[in-house]
Amino acid sequence: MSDSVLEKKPHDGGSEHDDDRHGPKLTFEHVASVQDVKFRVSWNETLQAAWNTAYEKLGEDSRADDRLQTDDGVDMMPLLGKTMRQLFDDKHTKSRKFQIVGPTGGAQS
Amino acid sequence: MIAPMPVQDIHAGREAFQRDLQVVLKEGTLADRGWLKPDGLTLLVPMLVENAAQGQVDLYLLRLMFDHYPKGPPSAQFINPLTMNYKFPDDVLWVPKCENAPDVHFHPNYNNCVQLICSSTTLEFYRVNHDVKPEHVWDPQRMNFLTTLAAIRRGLASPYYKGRWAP
Repeated sequence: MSDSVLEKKPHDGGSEHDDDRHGPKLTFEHVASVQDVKFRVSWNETLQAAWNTAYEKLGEDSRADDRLQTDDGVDMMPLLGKTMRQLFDDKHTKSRKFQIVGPTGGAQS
Repeated sequence: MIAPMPVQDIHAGREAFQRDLQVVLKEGTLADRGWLKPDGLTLLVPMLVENAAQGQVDLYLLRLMFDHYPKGPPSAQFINPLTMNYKFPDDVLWVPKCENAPDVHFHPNYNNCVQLICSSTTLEFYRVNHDVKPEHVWDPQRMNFLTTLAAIRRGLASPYYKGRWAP
């Protein structure tokens, strides 16, 4: 994409500069209710804390069997204790969109 | 347990698909998501998957059909994007291979009869009378086609994704 196109590219009010100063803007999608929320968190906040905030903003109760994944399917449950800095600097994920999903079943290979 | 096969209801499926699609899209469009809706019961979802081993991105095309929806999950099949069909064994390379994902698996020819995305969020899972835990049975009160897409996405994530099936 050329610089001139990039300059005209629409954005959601955030910027990389804002991210550096104030922390990343995350999206949480609650799959069961098809709602989502976007909010900014500090770089020192853990993913678990951000997930808890998402439930509050969504007005949804957390369920014991809920799980968190990125929108490209990466399981985030082992990474809930990581800070945003650790998540993104250590490249555990590139995505800033997370999905809250309930349990489903299937077969292993 | 073996869950009963949901009953086909084309009228209900068309209405529920349209309703849920509008909720999912909000003010957006199908094009925003890269999706196609060729008719009132079908959604085509391109899926780009990072193939770390090959250093490339692989494209798959998922077809969801809603003729048993919402009481049952959508039918979900990977199809050949050139023919818009799936024919075994010619089209197996259009089916992703995943290994050891906890709750989904992709079979190009399950029991020598059907392509099966082995997840309780697909219609074919019930069609083949697959064993399922009661808590995983499709529940329209807390599941919708995004649940199906999210489950399939898990099988396409690293470290489970292993490239294409070989013909």
